[in-house]
Amino acid sequence: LDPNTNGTVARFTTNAQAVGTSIARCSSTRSFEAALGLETAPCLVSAAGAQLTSLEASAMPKTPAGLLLDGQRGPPIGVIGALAGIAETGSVLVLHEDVREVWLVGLSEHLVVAVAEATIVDTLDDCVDLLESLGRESKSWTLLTGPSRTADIERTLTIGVQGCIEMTVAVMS
Amino acid sequence: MTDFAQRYAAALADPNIQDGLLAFQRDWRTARDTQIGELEELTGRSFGELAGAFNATKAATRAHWEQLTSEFEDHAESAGIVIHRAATADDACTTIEEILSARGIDRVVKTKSMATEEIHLNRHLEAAGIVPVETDLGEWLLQLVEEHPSHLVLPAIHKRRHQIGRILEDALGQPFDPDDVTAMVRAARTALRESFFAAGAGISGANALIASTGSVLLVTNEGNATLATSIPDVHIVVAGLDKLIPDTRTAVDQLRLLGRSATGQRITSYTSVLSGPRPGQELHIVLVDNGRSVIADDDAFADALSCIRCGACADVCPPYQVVGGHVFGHVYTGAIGLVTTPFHHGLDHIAEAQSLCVSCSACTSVCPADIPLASQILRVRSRVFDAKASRAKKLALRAFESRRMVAVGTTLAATLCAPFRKDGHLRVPVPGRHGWRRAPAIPIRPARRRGLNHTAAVDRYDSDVTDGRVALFMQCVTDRIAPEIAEATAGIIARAGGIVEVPEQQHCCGLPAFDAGDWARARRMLTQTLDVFDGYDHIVTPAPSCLVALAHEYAPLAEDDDELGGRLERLSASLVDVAGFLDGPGRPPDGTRFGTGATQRVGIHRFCQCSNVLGRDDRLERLLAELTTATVVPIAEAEVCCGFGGSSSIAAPEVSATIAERKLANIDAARVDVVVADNPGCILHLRGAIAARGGGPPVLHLAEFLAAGSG
Repeated sequence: LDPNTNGTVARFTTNAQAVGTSIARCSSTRSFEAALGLETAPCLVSAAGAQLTSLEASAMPKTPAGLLLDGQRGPPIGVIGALAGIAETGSVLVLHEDVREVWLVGLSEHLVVAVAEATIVDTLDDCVDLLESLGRESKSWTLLTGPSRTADIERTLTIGVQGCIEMTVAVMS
Repeated sequence: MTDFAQRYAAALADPNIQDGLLAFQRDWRTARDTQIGELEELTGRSFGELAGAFNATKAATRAHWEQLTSEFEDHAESAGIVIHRAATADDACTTIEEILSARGIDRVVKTKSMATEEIHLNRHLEAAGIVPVETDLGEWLLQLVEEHPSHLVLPAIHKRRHQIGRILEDALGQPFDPDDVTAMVRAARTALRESFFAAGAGISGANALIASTGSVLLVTNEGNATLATSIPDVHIVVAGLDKLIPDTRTAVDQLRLLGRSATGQRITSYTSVLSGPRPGQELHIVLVDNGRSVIADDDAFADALSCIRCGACADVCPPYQVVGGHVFGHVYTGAIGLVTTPFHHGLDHIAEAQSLCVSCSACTSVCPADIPLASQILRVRSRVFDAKASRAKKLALRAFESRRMVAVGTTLAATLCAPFRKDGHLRVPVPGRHGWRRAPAIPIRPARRRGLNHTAAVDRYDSDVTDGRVALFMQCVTDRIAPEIAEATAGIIARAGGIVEVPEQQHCCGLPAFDAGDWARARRMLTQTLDVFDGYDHIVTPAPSCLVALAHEYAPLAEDDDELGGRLERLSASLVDVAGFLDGPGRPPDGTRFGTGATQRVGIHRFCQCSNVLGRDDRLERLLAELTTATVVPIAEAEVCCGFGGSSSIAAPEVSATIAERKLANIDAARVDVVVADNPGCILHLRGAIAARGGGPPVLHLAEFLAAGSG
């Protein structure tokens, strides 16, 4: 992916915030942890999340039920890493090399996605070749665009119906 | 009373449906238009170009369906996915049941999937002792009360929050404040979370199947598909063959159109691509035909297979707003449901619902896959007519085909009605279901008896038709019921210097028969019209409905007859409506003024087909601004149909009345002195509704408004 411009990052930020994603600009691992409150809150970190943040990868359970705190509630904070950000939609592209990362995406109450600033691209067009190759070479990928939402009850937009209730994208410079 | 009639009556009696859907349609339109505008700017292409390109890609995919299906299967199978092909709904259900039974699975979670609704999978699984749990919130709520979705994207859109509060209270045993939607959603989250862990399999649909990678594209806003496809050890995808797309490039194009058209979002929250099972998981894909091959082989309907299930055709549909998706459609709701149901479930399931379509073409105008939905619905209607038309309907149309019979009938009616005339309408109300409107009083002397040949010019100006022959194609309705519109139109032609000729043999272009589905009769009436107007370079009609029919809708009538097609094309090239005349061959010199010179507040009612078929959104506004001293006042939802809709206003007068109310409310809010429109059908419809309610602004044809004050 080509390096982007500041305008692209600004547009990414605007569009991500428009769908309820919080944006944290982080210049270092420490600022990342501080901005997200990870120093005090328990969190699970995927391997990809660890790679981008220098946090230590968590020992992940072997079954999805193992992620549940009280047999029902997912991890309070899950940290994963993204391959890229897309300014057009405010999305992050997450490659699932390990199914446990999918579980983290689906079950975490607060999902934190780290993305390197240099991998934020302008439009989906800029990702087409990458997505095509991911489709051939990996088992799954996801574009995440804000927390779980529904408007099924009288069109009232409500956050957190099934997946994460809160989503933060940490833009790592 | 038929099953349809019961559902129709129940929907009309439920105020929740109309109120909820009206608010939804208005909000959707704003959000969708904003996002589509942004997409046009982003891509540098118009919506029409984007939709057309997507449809072309889907059509090319269908042309190589078997080859691309094999490519998809090869990629998928090499990644460990098991492919099953199902020719029918029963085959699909049996296959799924066998997969589950062989593994001892008695409980499954499902994501929202219209394909599984289409094959009635839940019913089949339950009969086999397997419990399906819907996990999309709307689907789950409906499952609790044993209903099916009324919308492709928002399944429970027909329910209001207080109704949903009661559903949840019954299901979960705790009361809910109907105004606390968040509490309801959180309770559902808790209740549904258990299901994912208790299920032996997850069943999903697919938004697309990508041939070049063998992948399944799945989108949700809730994230339930992420859970349903990753937590259970078995995942079964149920997808129609039509979901096949060639590559990821096309998937991106689809995503851009889908989110914006469905919910006014740039993209849905969770967009996942699955290219194989996770370790220890089985991934099956059941490819369902169930009529799709038949659609693909039918040139008139094949484009329907480009549908991306966004629901936009329902979101913009005036009759859908009145009755909801349990009436307007079958399993698939909205316009696409009227089109595809005959192939998936049989003509009987849509025979009555299709009569609700008002042919406004709004569905076609917003379809992100460029499907000619309105035309396809008319074709379905013609099949319904051929199979099921009543003797009375056939006789009525037969009588209407005869110019002589119409002349006798209208003369008789005019004579009988004469004592009851008042302000252009009958004083006595129309009985029964049509009581919301007053019938127009048929004049004794139709337009053809008013000496319009060689109409004298008033304030004549020079134009491209000066001193040339211009035929006045009066339109049957104008001729017999509103001759003053024909007179005003003749005056407009004369003022432009044209020599008005009114061919005596003219009758009707056949639109009423075409609209009713009697295409054989419509073809005969079209041929008669072509004979009458043969040889004219300029033909003007006060009725853009006839123009749209002749220039755009009648192609199917001539599809097996090149000579007829050629004649139709020539007539269409010569034919203009009044606005088209003033904007074209009859264009006046700059500074020419029409009308009384008064500074009236004028509201424009746009004929829906002018906006949706001809793409002429603001031409009346522009012409009035250029040619008169009137102040044009915007009317909200100007592009929305007035509810006339030809035969649908007779078949479903309650729907017609409700749509007219919506239009009149918008007119009232604009506080105008006069409403100007240019289609006689709309004008008579609005005049009748205004007269019945006891008053409102006058509704004039463009030609009448411009002619006022002349002479």
